[in-house]
Amino acid sequence: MSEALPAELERRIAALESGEEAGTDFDFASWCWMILFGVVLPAGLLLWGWFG
Amino acid sequence: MAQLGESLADTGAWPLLRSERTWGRWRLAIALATAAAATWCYLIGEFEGYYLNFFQGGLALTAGSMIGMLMVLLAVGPTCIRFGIESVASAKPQFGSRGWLIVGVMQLLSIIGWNCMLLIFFAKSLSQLLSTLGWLPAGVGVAQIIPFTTLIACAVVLLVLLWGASGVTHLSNILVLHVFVGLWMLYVLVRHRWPELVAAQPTLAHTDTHWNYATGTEIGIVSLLSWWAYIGAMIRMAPNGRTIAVPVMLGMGAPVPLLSLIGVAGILVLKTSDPSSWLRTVGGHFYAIVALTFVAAANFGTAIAGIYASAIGLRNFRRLERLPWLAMLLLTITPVALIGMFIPDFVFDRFGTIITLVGVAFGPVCGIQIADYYVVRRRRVDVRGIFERSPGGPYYFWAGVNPAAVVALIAGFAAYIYLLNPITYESHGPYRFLTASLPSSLLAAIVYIAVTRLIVIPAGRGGYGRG
Repeated sequence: MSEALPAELERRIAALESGEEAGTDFDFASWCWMILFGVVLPAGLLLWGWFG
Repeated sequence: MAQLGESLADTGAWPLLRSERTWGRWRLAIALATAAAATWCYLIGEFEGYYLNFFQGGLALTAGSMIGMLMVLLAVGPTCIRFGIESVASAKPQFGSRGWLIVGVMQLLSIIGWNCMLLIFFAKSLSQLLSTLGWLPAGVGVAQIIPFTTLIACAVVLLVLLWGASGVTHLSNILVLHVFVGLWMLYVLVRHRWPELVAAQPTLAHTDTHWNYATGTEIGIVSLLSWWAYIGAMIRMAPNGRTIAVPVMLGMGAPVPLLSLIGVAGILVLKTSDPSSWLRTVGGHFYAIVALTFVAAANFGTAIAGIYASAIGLRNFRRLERLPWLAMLLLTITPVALIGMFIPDFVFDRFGTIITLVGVAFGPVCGIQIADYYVVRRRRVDVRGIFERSPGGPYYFWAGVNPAAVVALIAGFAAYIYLLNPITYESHGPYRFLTASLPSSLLAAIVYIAVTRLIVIPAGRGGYGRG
């Protein structure tokens, strides 16, 4: 049993559910950047710091 | 709610619509960099410099920072960016329609702790600046005016935030210049003291070099895990994942280790991480004034972002949803003002414990959120369910709390504390190779997945399959 949400909140949720006003998740380019800066770069820096 | 900002919604926890989320890459990057660059960087660098030399310290700190930033971005990014919500709301599918209080309280305490440190640092630096300029009345010392300068700082933060997110971005456009001033200070120190910097050895380094390196990396990770509390309120102002990825990783993730090098260099060579102390010896009166002004600007930007994020987070409490924005700001900033005025050194002197407690807290939270979104829910989130509190809501679980998240959180806490005691820094087990944040986050994720698949989903709770 759902509670009644405030009218403005209901309007916003409906707009998001319709997809028109929702943002989009990370795309392929975003994943590439995140892996580069969050995995590859740190791994390289750690190896350089240890063996350099 | 009487508002001065560009949108009613940006002072509330309700979802922002895509048409309201107008920050592009540069605007977001500037706001994030302004928030990230603060004098906590000196303290982070100081701790790094206790265990590692300048070369290894800089690399380990940068690596750890980028790893921590990625963890936070993967944890809160998708839900915040898809639905225009902030960090605490993003945790409702994992913790439940009442269980979110756990992370809500963690967010509040974390931001109060950091803001106390920032505003007290600002107050001390402003007081020193007034003293350096000869503007203090006769007989009045720096320590005596710190409560007043703290109050002034809190008042200015309050005034700026009456404009909501607009206040954050307008001030960021000005204060971002301090990031370059910070890099200039680093250049000054490195140029004047390079031979000593290269030769300097950390004073608290263990004989176990693996331990030192793991600790240096851990300091970077936990420092950036702190951003869990702040980041949702800021990235939700952008429209999509592609807009936020690089600004977050570079705009928020990179300035911290870069500016922390000031602290690393300072503590290794000059035995103080505070540039307002050593810049005077390098460049005299003028340099000291520049440093103190930088401190003031740097801390303001971050404190503003923190108070904003905290006030938005508190909006998740039903009783606070419709409270006037001014009242929300007062509610958020008052604890900071009181601590800063009456017991300023209580938080300031416990920095080392505070940053590791952040890791204890937010590492497992990140593990839980990442596991839930990508593995268990496979990116399916019910936005309506985030705002439903009734027993019929998908995230009600049992009495509003998801036991999988609680058990996983406890497991993560216990693992962290076993691997690295945040108070004594005593360590056990594979810490010296794996840090404490990474294994504890992974364990929390595994426990969460196991309990969810074995208990929660078979019981038909949690809205799995919806969204």
